[in-house]
Amino acid sequence: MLATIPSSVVQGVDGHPVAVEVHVSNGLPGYTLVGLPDASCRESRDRVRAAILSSGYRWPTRRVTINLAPSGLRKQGSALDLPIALGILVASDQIEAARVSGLGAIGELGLDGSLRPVPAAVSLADAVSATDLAVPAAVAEQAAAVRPDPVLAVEHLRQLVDGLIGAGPMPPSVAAPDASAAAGCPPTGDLAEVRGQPLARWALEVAAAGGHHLLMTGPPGAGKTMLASRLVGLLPPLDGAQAVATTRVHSAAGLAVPSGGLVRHPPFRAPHHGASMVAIVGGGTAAMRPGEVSCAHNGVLFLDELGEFAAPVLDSLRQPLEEGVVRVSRAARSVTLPARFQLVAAMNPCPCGDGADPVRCRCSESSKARYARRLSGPLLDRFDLRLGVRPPASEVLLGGAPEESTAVVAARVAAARARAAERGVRCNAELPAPVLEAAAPLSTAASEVLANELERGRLTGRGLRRVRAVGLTIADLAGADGPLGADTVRAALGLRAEPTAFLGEAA
Amino acid sequence: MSPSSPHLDPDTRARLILLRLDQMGPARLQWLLAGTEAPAVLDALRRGRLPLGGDAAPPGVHRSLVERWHHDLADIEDGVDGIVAAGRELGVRILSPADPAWPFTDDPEPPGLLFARGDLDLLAPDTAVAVVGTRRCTALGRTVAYGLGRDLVSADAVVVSGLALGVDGAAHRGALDHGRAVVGVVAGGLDVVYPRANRALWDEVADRGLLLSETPLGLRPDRWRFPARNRLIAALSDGVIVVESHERGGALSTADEAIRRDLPVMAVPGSVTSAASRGTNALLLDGAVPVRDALDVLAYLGRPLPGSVTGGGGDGRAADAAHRGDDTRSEVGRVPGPSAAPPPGSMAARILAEVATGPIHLDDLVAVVERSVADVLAAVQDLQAQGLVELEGSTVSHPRPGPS
Repeated sequence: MLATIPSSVVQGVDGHPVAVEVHVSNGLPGYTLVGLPDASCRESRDRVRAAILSSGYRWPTRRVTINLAPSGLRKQGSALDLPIALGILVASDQIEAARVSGLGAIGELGLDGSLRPVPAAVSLADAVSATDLAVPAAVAEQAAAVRPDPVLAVEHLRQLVDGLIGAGPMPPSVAAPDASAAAGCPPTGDLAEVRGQPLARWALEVAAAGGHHLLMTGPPGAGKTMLASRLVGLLPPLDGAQAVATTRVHSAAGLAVPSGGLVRHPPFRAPHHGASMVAIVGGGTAAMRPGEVSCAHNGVLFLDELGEFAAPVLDSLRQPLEEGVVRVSRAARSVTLPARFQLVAAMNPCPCGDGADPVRCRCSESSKARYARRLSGPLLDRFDLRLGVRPPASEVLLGGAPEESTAVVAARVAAARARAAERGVRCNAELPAPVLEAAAPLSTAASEVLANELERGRLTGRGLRRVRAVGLTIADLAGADGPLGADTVRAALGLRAEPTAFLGEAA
Repeated sequence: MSPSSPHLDPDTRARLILLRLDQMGPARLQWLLAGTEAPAVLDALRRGRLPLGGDAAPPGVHRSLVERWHHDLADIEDGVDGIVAAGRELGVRILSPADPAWPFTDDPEPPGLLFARGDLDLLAPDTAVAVVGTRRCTALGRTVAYGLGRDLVSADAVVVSGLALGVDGAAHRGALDHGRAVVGVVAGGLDVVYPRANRALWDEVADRGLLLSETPLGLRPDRWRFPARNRLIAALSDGVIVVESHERGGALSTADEAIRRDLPVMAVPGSVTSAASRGTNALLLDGAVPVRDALDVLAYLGRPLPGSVTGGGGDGRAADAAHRGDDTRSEVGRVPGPSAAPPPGSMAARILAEVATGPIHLDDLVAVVERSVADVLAAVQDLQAQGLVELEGSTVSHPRPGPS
């Protein structure tokens, strides 16, 4: 008897359809699994056997051959347990073949027959070519997000088989979560908790409204991390497509997907500065697990202690920053992972952190020069907003008027982003050069200001475009129309401190 | 015994050999040469003996050292011609006390020989000023040293320093950017660049100014050679300025050597909390002359002040301030000149008033001026374009001349 159950495997964040073909024939009892299974896949035999027996079904004492097609694609992971079990039950005549027609399955089996959640459920569910899909109940919501029809949320192998053969009710159906539903509160702290620091607060607002990359420099304890984590609260919640795309990455990376099945808030990823290249870019396992840049897709990637990251790791950020994707190539295959993130970085002015105060700084000239060298160059050029932060004075921390809350600032950000949306982009940082020139004409006075900066060598052609984009965002926040004024351009310039200014004068 | 080198008189040659002996510093050489000539000393050493010149044992010379000298002597004598040739290739001149350009005629502790690359006229200047200080200086120290180098050279003085990182390098830089009257005195052989980071500066000093050492070619700058180098810096100068020095900094030994030679010692006052100014502040307490800039230095040394008619006092200072103003403007280039001062009571005027009291972070400026960040940033940028303030990082300060 032959049975075929549609299923899928994942590489990177892309699912690939796999047909699980099970053949049970006369001959010496045996079990053969072919079609490039890796170790985790081959272990399925023992799980499936135990699960079938624990659920009260028969293990065929005949020759069992399982082919995972297409056979050229490497299979890994435990999500093929359920389709293999179903295939064996059909091929050994315990389920009628007609009952499973059009049914696909993914899921890992426990020895007792219970269904365990699998990573990358979103991508897996997306790739299964079948009208119905049985998935572990724990990941049913995410899986349903990418399916046209509701999915079967299965708790236990027996529950599914009983439903199929009519011995019990079918497992419950779960429909796709409503992507446009209210997103609820953002998971991070409120901006009102940041006392003082008007410059950094405003830079955060501009960053949120325009999607501009932000670099904060300051001594330890200046509140850089606190500020950065407030940024995601200012960003608008993800729209339907973004939510699905980000959920797909998070699911593939094995991150917890919030209840409701979709990641609705821009993610905030803060990898440690010891992170390896693979951890940042992705591609560690055979499944080409997404890295931090992809986990921050549609959200914020925060690099604290930027100067402590390995230079190759920092260099690897340049492709995703430019293209919004990261291409990971390994010997056998390459995958393209989504990685459109807003980069927020914090750094100390020098290795000891006290560089702003030369008397307290304990760094040698050479270590400062090394630090500056590592940070100089193209990466720092990507930051449209660069500012120095400084711990607020104690009287501001202890008293002072309460600051604006996240909700108030987020409303202004949303209004500014609405204006950007009229230009056909989500935020001004994404504006292509010709559109930017049309959208942000310069007043005569503003042109003079910029011409002066160019002449003095303080601005490059690339910097000029970025200043215009930031100026446009500032005008959007202020609700100003018409050509950019001189003061708007000056404010944009003021948010663009030369990164070397923070690094001392290490010659 | 190798033949005498061509173009090298026997005395110079003997001195060169003696200087290459292990641990041969200026004090030992001076003792050995007391009352006799270098070839005679060499002869004695070849026999494994000390010359019978001194009454007491030379400073720190033990029997074992004399034996080592005796042992090394043959190799050194064989290698001397090669070293002289290599030096000639590098453009190194060897000056001996017999040379008319020898600058140490009256010095209490002259070097045995002087190795030089560059313009020997700089050995006989009207005014030579040493600008020295710690390698671990603050940005302020660097700026002051740069300004001293620049302004002293502009006033036709020769700037002498030690080509180290920090203050020394900044003083050289400032002088080279505005002239060529620069003397760099280094501790090691002229072919052993130290610190390596200063290689470009080193070559520039040799090409445009004068690079000096008392250490023969090929020898590394051992620790003990630095205080010896500092003595030469003092000996070549009419006065020593210490810009910044830690409590026990090497620059203080330059000051000591200046005192030994009855030369004026000047120091730049620093913050009493700054570790990098602890040594200089102590010098001031001991009676060194406080100086703020090149004008103070020239006035104290009694040299003519640039741009001044009377040549002294407050008038001169004012004239110099005007002179420096010109400088700043020429550096800034074709920027629209400073417009009229902002009207009193305006935000710009308030910002200027705040900045006048010292550098201020934008956060504080926003709090004081009580306007939006965007407004303050725009005003600060405008003031910066006029050259009235400087925005560095996120801190607003007075524009200051110097390296940027």
